[in-house]
Amino acid sequence: MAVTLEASRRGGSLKEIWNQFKQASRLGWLIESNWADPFVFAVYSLIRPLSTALILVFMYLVVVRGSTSNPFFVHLYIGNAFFMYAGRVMMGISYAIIDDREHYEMLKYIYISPLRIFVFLLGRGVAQVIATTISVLIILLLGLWPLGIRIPWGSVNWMLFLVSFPLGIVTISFMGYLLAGLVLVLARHAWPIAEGVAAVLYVVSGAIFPIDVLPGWVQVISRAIPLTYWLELLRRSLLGSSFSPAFNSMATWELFLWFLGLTLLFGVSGYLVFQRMNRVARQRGMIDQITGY
Amino acid sequence: MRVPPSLELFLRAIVGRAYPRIVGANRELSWLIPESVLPILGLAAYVYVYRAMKAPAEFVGYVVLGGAMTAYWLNILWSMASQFYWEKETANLQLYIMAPVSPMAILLGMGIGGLFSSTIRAGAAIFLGSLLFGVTYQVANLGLVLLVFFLSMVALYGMGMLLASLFLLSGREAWNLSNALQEPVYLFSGFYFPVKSLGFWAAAAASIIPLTLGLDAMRQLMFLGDPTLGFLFPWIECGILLLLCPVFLYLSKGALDKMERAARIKGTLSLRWQ
Repeated sequence: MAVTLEASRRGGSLKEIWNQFKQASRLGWLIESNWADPFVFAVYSLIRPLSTALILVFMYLVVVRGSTSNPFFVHLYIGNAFFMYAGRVMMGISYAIIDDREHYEMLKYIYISPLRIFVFLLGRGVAQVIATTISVLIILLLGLWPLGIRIPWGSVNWMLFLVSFPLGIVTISFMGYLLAGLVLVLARHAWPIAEGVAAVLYVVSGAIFPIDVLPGWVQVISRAIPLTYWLELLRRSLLGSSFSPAFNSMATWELFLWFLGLTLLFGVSGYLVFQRMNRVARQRGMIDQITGY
Repeated sequence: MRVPPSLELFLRAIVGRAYPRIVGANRELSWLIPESVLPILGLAAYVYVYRAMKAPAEFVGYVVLGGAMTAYWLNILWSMASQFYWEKETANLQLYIMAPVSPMAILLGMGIGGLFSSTIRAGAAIFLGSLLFGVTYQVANLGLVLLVFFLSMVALYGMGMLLASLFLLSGREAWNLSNALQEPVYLFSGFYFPVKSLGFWAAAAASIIPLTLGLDAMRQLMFLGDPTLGFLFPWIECGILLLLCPVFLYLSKGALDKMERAARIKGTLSLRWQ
């Protein structure tokens, strides 16, 4: 009965949830773009990832002094491009809590509106997915021309790509929920959490280098996170080969099963942690706390 | 000797604004952990890229030094250039403008305080980075290294004051502007690779950012790597930095006066969430 009342109060029908999701995505886009002119926002959104990609290009050129069609560079470039989703979507979902709680001071109003916080955060994440997709496409185009990286289009495993790619976005979103849950009950330490986790994942997922160069104990962590497998699957689907010799002996279906299992694990953990922390934050009156952003 | 009252007020404003940066920012000591560890994580990825490419050992040192220097650039962007925007959001900016002190003193105080706290973070990044990745330094001329560092910081914080005055008119786009200036400067100043590889003219244009020349000179003076990787001779870079210091301080004073007047006319000094 209590559940029904809660669902009714918050708008429980599928149609209502869809409407909430659409509004949250629109609001998310407006907030993420800072209500800026779309062209200006596009420039802002592109400059940063473009610069990161070019840093890697120059690092490669200064050491290897070789062609950018070298498989090492192509794997590095593709990994870096797709990793952008991890950084931006995860941070988008978790940072929305800090932004709305402490900066705009609107989080309490979202809680008292018929909007579900879970759906609201998903909307913020979707806005980031859209913005990141534009960036990734442009980074990939820059890679194809003028950098001249080669993707063997004829042998791309589209089925694997089309299954792995969206599943990875779902995984990243649930990781964002996990962080958002922690941010809800943290005060002054909330802001470095998302940034710190993204930085750790950038290293341990082997986004821009094979995980074999990491110390042994870090490789164990690498193998325990879904992003490592996600990036490996994307590389295999697009390029047909592995970046890391550590994965050479694993069949694609084996990689996919690991990815699926870890996705489920992180998905369930993210959901449960968020729901639990959401309850704790409400019980402790932390929804409208201002701790100085 | 008695200090003229106007100078005394100027100096007191500097101390007053530097105080929260030095004492206040370090009051929450647990913040030092993420602020020291985050730069290490950021640079670790680039260290492993070089290792995967089997780059010469000094490249790891280049990354550690560059990664440590990001503390200063981040401080300039987020705690100086966009600071007036944050002050506006917390309704402090109008109090600064009302107070009978020069905004230049406020900015200088911010700069000195920021320099102190950034140095702690940069020092931690160098110490931990060197320890974790086994960086060895071959310092040939410590005096020149310190001079280059000092001049880089004076010019950089002068540039920070100039940016702060330009950001004075900004609303919420200050956030995007700071974001947009972060990684591009890492790229053009060669934080993670020798700036010479950008090509002469691009490196020359990037030299307007004091950290470009400072970092290049310090790398040449602290690591025994390939001498052809240096952009200019360190003493030439030192001379250019010496010129940049008064230029940025002069420009920032002029820009601050102009922008403050424009903000008063437009009535944007007390606007929040604009």
